Amino acid sequence: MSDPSADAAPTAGDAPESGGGPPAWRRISGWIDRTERFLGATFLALVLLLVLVQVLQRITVGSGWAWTGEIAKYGMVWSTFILAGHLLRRGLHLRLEVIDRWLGPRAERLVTRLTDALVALICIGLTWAGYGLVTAPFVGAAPASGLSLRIVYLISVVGLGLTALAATGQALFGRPVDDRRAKSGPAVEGAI
Amino acid sequence: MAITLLGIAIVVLLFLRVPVAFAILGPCVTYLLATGQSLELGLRTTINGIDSWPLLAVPLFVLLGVIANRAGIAERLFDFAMALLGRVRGGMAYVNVGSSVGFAWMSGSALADAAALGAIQVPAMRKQGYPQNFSVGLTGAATLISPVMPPSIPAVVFASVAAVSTGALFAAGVIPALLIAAGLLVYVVIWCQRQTFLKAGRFDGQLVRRTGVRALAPAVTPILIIGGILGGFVTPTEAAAVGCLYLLVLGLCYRTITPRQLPSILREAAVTAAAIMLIIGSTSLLGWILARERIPGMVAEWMTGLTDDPVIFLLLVNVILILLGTIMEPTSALVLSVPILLPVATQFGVDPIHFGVIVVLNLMIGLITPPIGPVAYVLSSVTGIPVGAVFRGLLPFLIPLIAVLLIVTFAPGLVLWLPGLLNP
Amino acid sequence: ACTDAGKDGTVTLSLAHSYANTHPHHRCGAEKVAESVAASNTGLKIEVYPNSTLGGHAQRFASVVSGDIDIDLQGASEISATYAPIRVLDAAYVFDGADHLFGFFESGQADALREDMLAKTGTRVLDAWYFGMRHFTGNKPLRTPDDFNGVRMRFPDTPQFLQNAEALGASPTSVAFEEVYISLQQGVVDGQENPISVISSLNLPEVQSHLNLTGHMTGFVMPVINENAWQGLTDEQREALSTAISEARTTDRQCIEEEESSFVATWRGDGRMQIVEPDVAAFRTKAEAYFRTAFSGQDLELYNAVRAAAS
Ligand code: NA
Ligand code: NA
Repeated sequence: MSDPSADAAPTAGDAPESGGGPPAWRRISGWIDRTERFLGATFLALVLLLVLVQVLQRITVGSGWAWTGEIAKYGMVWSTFILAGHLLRRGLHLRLEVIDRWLGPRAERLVTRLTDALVALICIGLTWAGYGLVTAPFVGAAPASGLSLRIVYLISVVGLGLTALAATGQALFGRPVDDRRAKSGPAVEGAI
Repeated sequence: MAITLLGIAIVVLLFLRVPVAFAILGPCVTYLLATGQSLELGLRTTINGIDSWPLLAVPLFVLLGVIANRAGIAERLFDFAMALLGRVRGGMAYVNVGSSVGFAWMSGSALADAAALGAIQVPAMRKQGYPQNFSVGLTGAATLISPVMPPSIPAVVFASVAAVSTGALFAAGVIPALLIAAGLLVYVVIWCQRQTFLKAGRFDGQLVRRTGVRALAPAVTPILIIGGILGGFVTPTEAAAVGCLYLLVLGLCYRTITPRQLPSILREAAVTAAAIMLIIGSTSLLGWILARERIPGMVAEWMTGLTDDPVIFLLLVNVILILLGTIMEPTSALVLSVPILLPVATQFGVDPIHFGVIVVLNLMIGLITPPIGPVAYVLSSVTGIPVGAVFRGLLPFLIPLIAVLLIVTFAPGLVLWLPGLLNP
Repeated sequence: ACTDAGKDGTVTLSLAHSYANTHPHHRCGAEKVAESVAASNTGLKIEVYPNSTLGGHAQRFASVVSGDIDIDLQGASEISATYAPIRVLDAAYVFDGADHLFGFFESGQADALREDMLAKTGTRVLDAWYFGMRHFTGNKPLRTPDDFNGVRMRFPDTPQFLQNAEALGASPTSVAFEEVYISLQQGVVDGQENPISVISSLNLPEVQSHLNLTGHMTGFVMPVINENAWQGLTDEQREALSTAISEARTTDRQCIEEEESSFVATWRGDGRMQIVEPDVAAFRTKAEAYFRTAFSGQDLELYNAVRAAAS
């Protein structure tokens, strides 16, 4: 993995990424956004690498370490949660767009503010739940690798906290562009 | 009572365009609070829903699709099919279906096909004078071969939700996928007879050989993936990783992918996979709550009270799933409906593998129907044709697709023959 | 969490497990507990959630700890991710069979372990139910530890199972439980080990030719209850629950043993699997020698205590 900003081919949302609001806020969320994207991609690379290691072991020595598969699974979990905020900022979350056709631009902005506020609320709740999960008195370890589940949970909770932050920012300052663009183009590319 | 409110809250949030994952998680966590369960349970169940070995194939098959797309694999297959079939009257239409079948063996998703092949097929057909409706409709309908033919992302998700063998479900998809191709070809044959503008081209052996060589290395991919799984060398998850490595090497050799592009490839795949996985995680919490409230049992009772005929039951399931598919994105629809419907299907004596193919086929048809028809959106965005026109073009192709769906529903032998053959 | 009293003052406890509706642990275990608790008229009700509907093993144990599930059936290895010392009870050949297992739990020798686990996880082990002896299946006979050579053997991914592999001289390969069948069918792995009931429910006789009766582990599950749920019960309710669970232990074992002998007889009869009687002493000696040096401190003490209780 190299510098996340070194981008040969432009992708989904290299356009505005930080929403409205004061410049400092925009700078910070832009930085968080790129970091999330970098970490999400790195975790996916880790998944690919570990699964390939597992194949290699099977071919060569005929048996595998159990921990490779286990950490690969956690890599997928981390990639998912770390990218939740990025998906929100770029309007890339899968959602139903049934009511769009009946909304004018003003109503659309209003509904978007409302949903961002709701998402903020939900993510704050989930982050709170995550705090409980990470600090619970009895937390086990992953069976094969022995990795503490606190760490497994912690990375996911950080992702949710950053999503809560992004949603709060968008509810307060609005979004720079209409996120309807999300339903076409590379936004859904590769999904089912 | 609480469960009714939960259902209403989810529907309201979905219609307010709250992302599906949060529209499910929000009310679910509130339900846990209201019923005296711990909040931590909610997040733990969500994380555990993602933390699954079979599901690990999802991001890897997504990555495979992105790499295949960037490596220009679709173009090579299309050129070869063109050289081979271009001389036939209406050949371009056959080429369209043929190259989709070829690409389907290495792509697990219809949207990857729509993005990769749509950009090539539709303009090529338009250039030869095919009407816009027909071109875009056929291209869109043919993308559905991909998620039915192995490898298939929805099959991986179904296998994980239903706890059946991914390999068996993959094998079960081959004949239905070929049936879709056959159905589309029949449609094309009938359509071509009424066209006057079509003329036969000239066969160019040289061109066939040249494009054939160019398509040779990509053509090994399905052997590597499907052969690896069915031949017993690797599990589906591992096959996806091996496929990624192979196509990456090909792309680097072809210079269609440069090392500097690797981060952006990984980012694109990670983002797409995250959107899917988050929904899978959230629905696993919803599934926990439904199980706690014994909803699947109630639905089963209701359905068995409605009919005791498996044929009527399957028709009912088809209607429900098609309706669900028109308004919902398939992963969400799949993970929501399967935990409820599968136990009922088993009670009716329907084989889970057969049921899996029915569910996947149904929800894939939903990809091309309005209002939520992601394939149509992607086609519109890569071709510049308005979404409404794309939907109109796709409409007549529902006839062969629904015909295939009915055949698959009522001829389980066609579906189960191949998995049975591999596992005597 | 679910100890909420109903309208008529009944307390409802959830009992979750991984086993299918047809499995003895459900038919002759969990359901029996629910029935006899209901018949006790102590105002206690047990709601059973079979088939992993409330999550997989590890996830459910976490839910018992957090109080979101009241009672669960858990194996020592699964619990050991949260409470490590208990893994010793899943060591290869540590128990000689169901009688030894039950005797150990009844004699009070397990009490210190149970109290320690209660203090460290907030969960109470109520009893131990027999799950059947674990045996190896494969496509060739396994008579002595040397026969493990060149065989890719699937073991569950927990430290104790992997250590058992080492103790017995096998090289373990990790395959998820859901992929055991297809991996055996396609030769990704050559063999696996499980109790007879699981070998049957996974349809392994279709893809394995030999059942080697090593009996290398006395499989068992423990009904585990969340301590707050337990403390929320009246003395009569606790008495009713304990009695129901210990009675179900007997019926469950009967069902398991009947099922096992009927499966083995069927397989032997139609030749689907060759039944191999291996040199069990050779495996046992190897494992015992291994664990006496591999275990230390508290683990070794527990191991020795269990072994000493063998008749
Ligand atoms: Na496919
Ligand atoms: Na649709």
